[in-house]
Amino acid sequence: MKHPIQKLAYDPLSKALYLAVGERIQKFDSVTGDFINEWIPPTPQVDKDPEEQKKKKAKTEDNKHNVFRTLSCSSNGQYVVGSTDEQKSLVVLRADLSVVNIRNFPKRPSAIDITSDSSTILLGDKFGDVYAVPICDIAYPPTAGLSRISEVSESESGGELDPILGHVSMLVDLLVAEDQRGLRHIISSDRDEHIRVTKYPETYIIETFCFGHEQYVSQLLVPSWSPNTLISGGGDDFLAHWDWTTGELLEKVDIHSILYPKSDKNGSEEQIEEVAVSGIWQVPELQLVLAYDETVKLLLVFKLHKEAGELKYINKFSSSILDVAVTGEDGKVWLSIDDTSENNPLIQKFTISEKGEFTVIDSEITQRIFDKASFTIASRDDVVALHSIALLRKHAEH
Amino acid sequence: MTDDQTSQSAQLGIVESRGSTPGPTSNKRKRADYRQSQQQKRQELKTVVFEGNDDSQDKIKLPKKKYYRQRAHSNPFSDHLLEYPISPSHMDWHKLYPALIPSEAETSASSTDEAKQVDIVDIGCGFGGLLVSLATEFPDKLILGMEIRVQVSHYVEDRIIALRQQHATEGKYKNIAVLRANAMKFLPNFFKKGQLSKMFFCFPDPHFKIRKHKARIVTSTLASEYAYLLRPGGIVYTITDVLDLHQWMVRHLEAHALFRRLPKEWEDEDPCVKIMRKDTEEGKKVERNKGDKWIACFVRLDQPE
Repeated sequence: MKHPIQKLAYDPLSKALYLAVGERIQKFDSVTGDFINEWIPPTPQVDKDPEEQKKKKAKTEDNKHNVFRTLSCSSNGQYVVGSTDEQKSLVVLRADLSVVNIRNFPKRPSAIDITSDSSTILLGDKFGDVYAVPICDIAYPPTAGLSRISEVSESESGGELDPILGHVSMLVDLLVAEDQRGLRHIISSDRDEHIRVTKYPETYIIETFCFGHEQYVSQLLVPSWSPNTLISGGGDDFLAHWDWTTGELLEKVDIHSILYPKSDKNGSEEQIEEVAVSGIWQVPELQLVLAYDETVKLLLVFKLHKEAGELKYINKFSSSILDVAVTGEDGKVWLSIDDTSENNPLIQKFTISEKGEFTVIDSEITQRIFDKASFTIASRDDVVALHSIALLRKHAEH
Repeated sequence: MTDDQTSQSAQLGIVESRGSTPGPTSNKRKRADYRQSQQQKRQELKTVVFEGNDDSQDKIKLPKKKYYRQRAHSNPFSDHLLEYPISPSHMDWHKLYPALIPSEAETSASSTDEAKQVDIVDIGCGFGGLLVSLATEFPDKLILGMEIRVQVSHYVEDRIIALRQQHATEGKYKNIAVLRANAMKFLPNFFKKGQLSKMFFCFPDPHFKIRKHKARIVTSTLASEYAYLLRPGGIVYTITDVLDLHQWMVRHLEAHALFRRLPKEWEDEDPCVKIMRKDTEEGKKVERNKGDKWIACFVRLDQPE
């Protein structure tokens, strides 16, 4: 059995497909399906001191849980960036998967985005703080081995960063958006209901809040064909459609009725019908917005017309999805599918039609990728919880 | 449990509810009884507008602080069961200032008037000493105290109800109110951008441990939120008896591009600084103990272009 692929990132320039599998990052040529390279975190060196050794051993145990929770590709295609759970680190790699920087943070990183000029990583953490981390790429001499990497990472993490903005709640998603005048802003959302719009880099100026959610906001999207629009979702029964430049709520698009259709009830016992949107993506060439609910395991397809400005539900696709990588070509997307049963490919490529229908394509290439992708695990118990957005729902203490 | 025991405990229950059981529990009961009766009064009087010269109403006594004691600390990160509006426009201020803010029905009738809105906020108002003094210093302004501890916010509520009634003839204290709220998380839910002219932070929880520093009410990241709520020229007032916290607050606000510290001469002239020094409960306590008080005030600057 293979470890599921928890995150995907696609670089449209080189057509490279990056996979985050457990604590590793793997790179494939998406056209041929060839395996290119793999990054495995450096194992700690064995110390002579038995006390130290014990500690180290404990740490390696931790490594199992040190999985990547985020994975992004810079828009110039030169960097792959991910953040990990247990060691709370930000891993910055070059396109060839050599290390630029590994930096540990005081709290677990929960969201990352890279500025469009590929110069800075914005990282939000469990405590609600957001840091700006410059990608300082001072290439290492070719002789540098793993020891050099750990040396650098240690000295790097020593330098403290000050947060550039902060929520008083776990930060769940953030992105850098550019309005129609070309002014940049950070849009950030948290485990309370807040969506905040802050100027960037002048983050001491809060422009507005987007008020309307009543549950955690786990996903934000600014569609590339409509730069003043924000689509957000999380624990609420709806997706919210905003003009983020003014904070105006344009519409609430009910998804609860799609996820839990009335006919399914059959007068049986009251079921818990909670919504947990764990992903929102865009398919710009078709002006489609995809939203995934991890409790019902349904991928919803919406059309967002540039002119009409209405987010309209058109179709659904049932599958246990961990991540979607959009290629930007003819509605082609990669889906990471959480089905570890024998012979089921963990990754599939689809083409989405104008009407939101999914058709499998390039199965030969996908098979090539699947043969080399991931690694073998003994059982599902070796995998950390990957569908955990629903846990963000708050239950009052007192 | 046998029938015998049940009847016995039932009997005890009756005895207890009469409140005649002597011993250590009686204080607890007294407190509970008192709270219950106050709760009832609060429900009845909350939205009542006291007209002058209404002698038929009993004079309401000021609440007694001893019945409202609560531990001094509250975790601002926990998911308290708090009520707050979805957005500032969802807030019904009429309930808090019934004499000064018309109800929704009334506003729609005379919609031409610009609605009066809260102008001054006391964050972590404690037992409300500052609020009461500010009420007469700024009779034309709406002033709101925010307090996260339930019992303490009830005390302030009862205190305001009593004061309003006792001074019904002069029409005083109609301009102050209190809300139980987590100000660190939900201030923007209550107030619009640039709505406030003054924010008070009097003797905030010092959160001494380094790991708890994020729980401090003044940090550079929260300062951005305060700058959002204050209009240019608005003032942040801070006072504490903990030097380390004072230095922390000064450092964080001075580092913020939208705040500038006001000089000592300004502090000496400002009436609010005087009130803050003398009329807060904590301030009085520090006075009694002859401790030091550290003050720092900051003006909200215009946004740089």
